[in-house]
Formats: sequence, structure tokens, C-alpha cells
Amino acid sequence: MKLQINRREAHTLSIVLIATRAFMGIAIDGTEYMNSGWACMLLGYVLALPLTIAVDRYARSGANGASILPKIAFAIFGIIALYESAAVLRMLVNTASYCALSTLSTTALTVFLLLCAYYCVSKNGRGCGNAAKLWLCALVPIMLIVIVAQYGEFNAFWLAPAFAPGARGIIEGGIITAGYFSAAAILHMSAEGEYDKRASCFLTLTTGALSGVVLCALRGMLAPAMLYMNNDRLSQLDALLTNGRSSLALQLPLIYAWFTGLITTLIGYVFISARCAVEVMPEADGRLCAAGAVILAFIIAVAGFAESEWVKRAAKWEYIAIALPLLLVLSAKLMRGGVKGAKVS
Amino acid sequence: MREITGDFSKDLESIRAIFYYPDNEDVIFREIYGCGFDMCAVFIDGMVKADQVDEFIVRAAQLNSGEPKPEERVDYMMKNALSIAQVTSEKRLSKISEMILSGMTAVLAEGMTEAILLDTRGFDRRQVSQTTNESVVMGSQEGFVENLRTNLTLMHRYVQSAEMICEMLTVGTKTPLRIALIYMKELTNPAALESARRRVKTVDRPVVHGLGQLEQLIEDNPWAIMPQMLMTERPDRAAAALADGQFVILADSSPYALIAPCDIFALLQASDDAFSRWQYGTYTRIVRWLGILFALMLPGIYVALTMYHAHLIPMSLLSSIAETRVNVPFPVLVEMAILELAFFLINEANMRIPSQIGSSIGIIGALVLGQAAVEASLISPILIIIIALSGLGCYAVPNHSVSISLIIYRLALEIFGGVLGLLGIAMGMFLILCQISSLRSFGMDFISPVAPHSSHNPDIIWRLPIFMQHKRGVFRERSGGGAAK
Repeated sequence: MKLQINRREAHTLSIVLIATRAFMGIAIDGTEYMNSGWACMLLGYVLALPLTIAVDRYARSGANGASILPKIAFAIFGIIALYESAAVLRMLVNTASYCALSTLSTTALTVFLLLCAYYCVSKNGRGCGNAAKLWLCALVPIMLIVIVAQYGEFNAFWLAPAFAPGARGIIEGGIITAGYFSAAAILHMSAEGEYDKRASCFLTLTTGALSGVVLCALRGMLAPAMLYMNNDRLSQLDALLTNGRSSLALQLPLIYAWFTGLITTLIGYVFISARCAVEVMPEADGRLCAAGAVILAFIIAVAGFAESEWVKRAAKWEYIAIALPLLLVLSAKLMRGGVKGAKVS
Repeated sequence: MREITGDFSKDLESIRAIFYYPDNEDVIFREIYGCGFDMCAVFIDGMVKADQVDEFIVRAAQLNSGEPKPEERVDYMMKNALSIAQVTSEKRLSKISEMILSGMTAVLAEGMTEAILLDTRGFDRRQVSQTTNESVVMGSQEGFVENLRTNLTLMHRYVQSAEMICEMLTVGTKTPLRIALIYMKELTNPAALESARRRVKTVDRPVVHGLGQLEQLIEDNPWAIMPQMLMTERPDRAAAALADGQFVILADSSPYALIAPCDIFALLQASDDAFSRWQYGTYTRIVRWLGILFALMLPGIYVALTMYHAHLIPMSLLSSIAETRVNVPFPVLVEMAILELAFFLINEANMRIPSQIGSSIGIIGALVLGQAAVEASLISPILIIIIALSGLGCYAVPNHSVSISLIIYRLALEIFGGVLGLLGIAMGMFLILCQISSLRSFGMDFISPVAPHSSHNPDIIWRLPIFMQHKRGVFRERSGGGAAK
């Protein structure tokens, strides 16, 4: 099977992926950013913007040719996506444990999730991208239900002080989210077909980042920042999914949305790592690459390298790790003088 | 390929051999002397209008006194002797036998190197009557019948346009089934059409029993649970599909039409949606979508909530569920499986049972069995409500194949919910979305125009006013997206 994804499919898949991953990184794992996650996301958006504009400008068709540099870049991107798959996997398992599934074996849960990811990736970019689009369509009414159901619980004052973590904290959060947002650039770089302005990387980033900002702000308005509370994932999930004021029954759509968002993100990252493997080894079978990605993600996840603390440490370097190879690839192209403006469909 | 030789007795013998005459007593060989030479009319008893054969072939030939030369006989007979409107000549024995089997009469004669084929078809057929599965309140009440010619006439009546093209094809290597591929010349995507022709021609089954089998042989993904072509018994719906740029396949002996390329939204729409006022159409569609959600997710969510997430159920509801389940000896998943099985049994029995006693099955199933099961504490009453609602949701789907697909998906979601709770439901739903999203129908994405987005009439989920639906042939551009293989 030839693993491929077109620009529109990459667009929708990336929106869900970057919004969910950034929300997970900032609102769940990044307690130190308190309720200023939205500001970190805005900064992350600004930092990731040049990358996405560059990817749009230099269409993939001219970017990897016979040179070894793009292959190295895709190898790095693949490893990053693999690690992110494991990180999201752990978050899913943590959420499942929180939601009364603690009796189920973590390994079994991980295997179930990865089998699901493998099946979806084997349905190629069309299956994953279009399913993400359908999910986006369904998410709007679900979020409306969530917002209406908890309307009385939102408190805009809890977003203040707007810059509580301080400049350094917000810059750090911005760099982390820029790393998450850069996944859109990777997916767009590996997407096929002519440049489509309705599915440009810029538009993907803007939509995804704004969605993340809105989600972060909504989350911030649900519960005040608590400086001395337990900062582990389960406490944060508790604050997100059962904030203690609204009826538990109202949390059902939110839990469903959170699960599906994470599953889509997991599938997106597994797809990226498999796709990067295909870019590095063009003769490789897509299903085989997907199977390899799933197995490696499983190993990373069960070996404990994707726990919250590890993920937070790695996240600080993700932006650099993506931006540097990307810029190198594009610079090499510039030096060869082979850059062509992308064709606008 | 064997052909007519012009040697009358030899040709007649060849035809007799093809039909295993005289073992096969249905085939009639009526030898005639007329026009100054011997000839023979071959037809199948009961497939032709006997009075037409008597009057316009046998009698007309006997009374004709012209004596044409052997090389002029075919032309002479067609123009002067035989008084049937639709007449053609054919050399190939295989084609001649095929036409005789379809109800035509073949005339062979001494010195003629072609057989004359006369359209004398006149077998008994069902009259055009009301649709049985796709009834509407407003709109046409006519449905397709088992006769291809009648169905083609219906199509011509509903689409009175010279642009409507009808290509006749056959499938089945041993027993050919005549099918008609109908499309609008300027509105249908040529790639999709070519793909349809190629798929029909490459069917290598000896026998194809109707459109149901043909659909399975030519669809894009036979492993998918969802059908990728729309089957309708309504000629007005088939006519509307032609105007949208889809093509229609009709077959002999099938009171249905296959419509392709097709998307999932077309499968979930009913003819009534288009006939009623847009407000009513939109309202019924919303109700139908809710029904689909119930049919698909309600039992799975119930299983997930009661098994893993009881804390998400409001206390009053939770206590009433607990009260009704207190004497039930089975886990929820087993209880659900028992009730699902009972529901399918009642459903299946209702479909197979003679209509005179059909109503008693409903009474036995719904009242006696349900009541007894609740009283015996085998199942809880709330589960009956859940299954009944999801069953009703299934019946709200206008397409039978889709409703069966929903049942299969529902069972999968129940298992997912039973094993992984809400995570399982979310996972299962995403798997379903992914599977449906990856499908194509003759090169067209199955969930387009939503994903990928493309221009369309506001008639997908909302049914907005007719005056806003001004695009014709919307399927033409959408089916050009992917390579139709």
C-alpha cells in the first residue's frame, strides 16, 4: 500500500492534531502556565507561523528530490512523531484510568488503542483525513452542548491575571506550543498534490491554533488556577472533566470529545511517523511502516519514556528539532537555486 | 464463433442442438412455406405473443407470393413479408439464441446467411404498481417491475429528454442477464461511466441473479459494510439521479434500479424529503439523523455507562436503573446480547412469515415475550426501551442495506463499550468514521461533499428551499476526484 495524504486531508487532520496536542501540553501537562495557556498558544502561533508560511511557499514537490538532507529531516520528524504518538497514548491511558477504567490492564488498553491507530492509518490519508473532517463537523454541536450545559460555571475572571506565569513562563509555553503546532508543517510537507490555498499550512495553523486558544480559555474559565494543588495528570483531568460544580452527567459530551480528540491525535502522529518512514524509504510498504510505527510507539509507551515529566522535558526542544531540519532543507534548496513558487490551484 | 451458413437444414440443426431439441419441448420450430422457399420460425412457447406470430409472421409469409433470389431474401422478407415493427438480422448463432431466449422470434430460411429477429415478446408480466418499500405521502406512487422494457419505458416517461442515453449490456457468461446502463449525455462523468462499463464487462460469473448480485460484483469495496450504490424501486428517484449526474442500471427480472456514484447522504435521504415543503423535509431529516444516532450509539453508550461510568448517570436515573436490574442475573452486556438476539429473531421472523399471521408475531414478540422476560427478571425494562428506540431508529433509515449496516456497527459498538467503556465507544465510532471515509463509489469519495468539501446544493443534511438548489449534475465534478478503477 502506498501511504499518501492529500493537502485537504492533511489540513483537517492537522487541525485536530495540533489543537488537541497543544491543549494537552498546556492545559493538562503545563500546570505551571496556570490559566495563561491561551497566551502561550498565541505566542506559539506566532513562532510557528514562519515555518508554515515557508512550507506553503516551497511546495513539497521541490523539497526532497534526490538529496539526502530531506531524508534526514524526515527521519528526525518521524522520530518526533513517534515519541508524540507514545505521549498521546499515555495520555489516553491516563484519561481512561481516570474515567473508571482503572481495572483494565494498561498494556491491554495500549494494544487496543494502537490496533485502532493501525487500522485507521491503513485506511490511508483519505480515511484518516476525512474522518478528522467529520469529527470536526461533529465537534461543533458537541462543544455547543458542553458550553450551554456548563454556561453558568464559566467565569471570565479566572483568566486573570492574564500573564501570571511571567514573561519567561509564557515564552517557554510559547516555544512548547510552537513545537506542537509545527506538526502541521510536517504533515503538509509530506502531503501530495498541488498547493491549495483553501487547505494551506497557514490556514491549518491559524484554525488549529485559534481552536486551541478558545479551548484553553474555556478550560481556564472553568476552574481557577491553583498554585498548591497536585500537579499530576489525574488531578488536571479531574479539574477538566469533573470540575466539581456542574453536574457529572453534563461531562459526558466533554469526555467523549476529549477521547475522540486524543484518538484522532494519536492516529495523526502514527500516520506522520509512518509517512516519514515512507519518505525516507520510498520503496517501503505503507502498511509495514504503519506497523513499525505502532510497535515502536508501544515500546516507548510501555517503557515509561512517555510519562508526563519526560514529555514535558522533550517538549521544550521539539520546536527547534522541527524548525532546524526544515530550515536546512529549504536553505539547501535555496542554495541550489531550485526553489519554485508553489502552484496555486 | 459459429454463424448462419445459408444451408437451411444445417442451420436449423445447429439451432436445435443449441436448445437441446427435442428434449426441450418449450422451443417451437414452426416450419413455413412462403415467398417461394422453406423457412422456419423459432420461438419459445409462452415468451411470445402467439397471435403476433400467427398473424404477422406465419400468415404474412404464407400469403406473400414474391419469389426473391437467395441473396435478396433477408431484405425482401424484412421489407415485404413480415409485418412486425421491430425487426433486425443477425449472423451469430450465440446472439440468435440469446434473442430467442429473451422472447424474440427468429426466422431462418433456405439460402439466407442471416436470421431475421422479430420482436414478438409478449410474456406475462406484472403491471406497474405501487412501491412496497419506498412509499411516499406526496409524489409518484409508481414502482419498477420485473420487466426491463417496462422499466425503460418508465424512465423515458419520467425523463423526456434526448440527452438520456440507454446502453444495453449483458452480464453472465453462461446465462446472460440483460442490463441497461442509463445516463444523461452531458451530465454524467465519463470516467465513472467508463468504469461502470468496464466493471460490467469484466464480470466473469456464469450467472448473475439480478441487481443485488450485480451490485456486489461491481462495487468499489466489497469488504465494506456500507453499500456504495443506491438501490431504489422508484422511477422518479432514478430520474432525479440522472439529473444530478449519476447513472442508473436496470436489469431484467429486477424491480429495482441501481444508482451510482453514490454518497452516504443520498443513502440516508428519502424521496419524501424532496416532495414535501422544505421546512418539513428539513425537520424529518433531523428526526432521521437522531434516529440514526439512537440506532448506532444508544445501546453501546448504555452498556458503557452502566458498566464503567455509573458516576456519569444522574442519581435518580441511576437508582431506577439499579432497581430494575436488581433481580437480573446477567451482566449488562449479556442482557443486551439476549435482547438484541430476540429483536433480530422477531424481525427476521416477521419478514419471512406469511402476511396473514405477520401481526401475531409483533404481538408475541413485543407483548408476550417482552412482558414475560421482564417478569422473569431475565432483562430489565429500561433495556427494552433502549433496544426499542434503537430499533425504531433503524427503521427510520430509508435504505434497507444501510439499516442492516447500522445494526452491525451497533453490535460492534456494544462490544467496544462493554470492553472499554466510553473510550471504546469513541474508538469504535472513529473506526467506523474512518472506514466510511475511506470508501469510494465509482471514483467519488463516499462522504463528499462534506469531506472533501465540494460545491453542492443545500440538500445534504438540511433540505433548503428548491429555489436555492440550482446546480445540475453535481455528481459529475465530484466523481471526477478520484480515479475510478
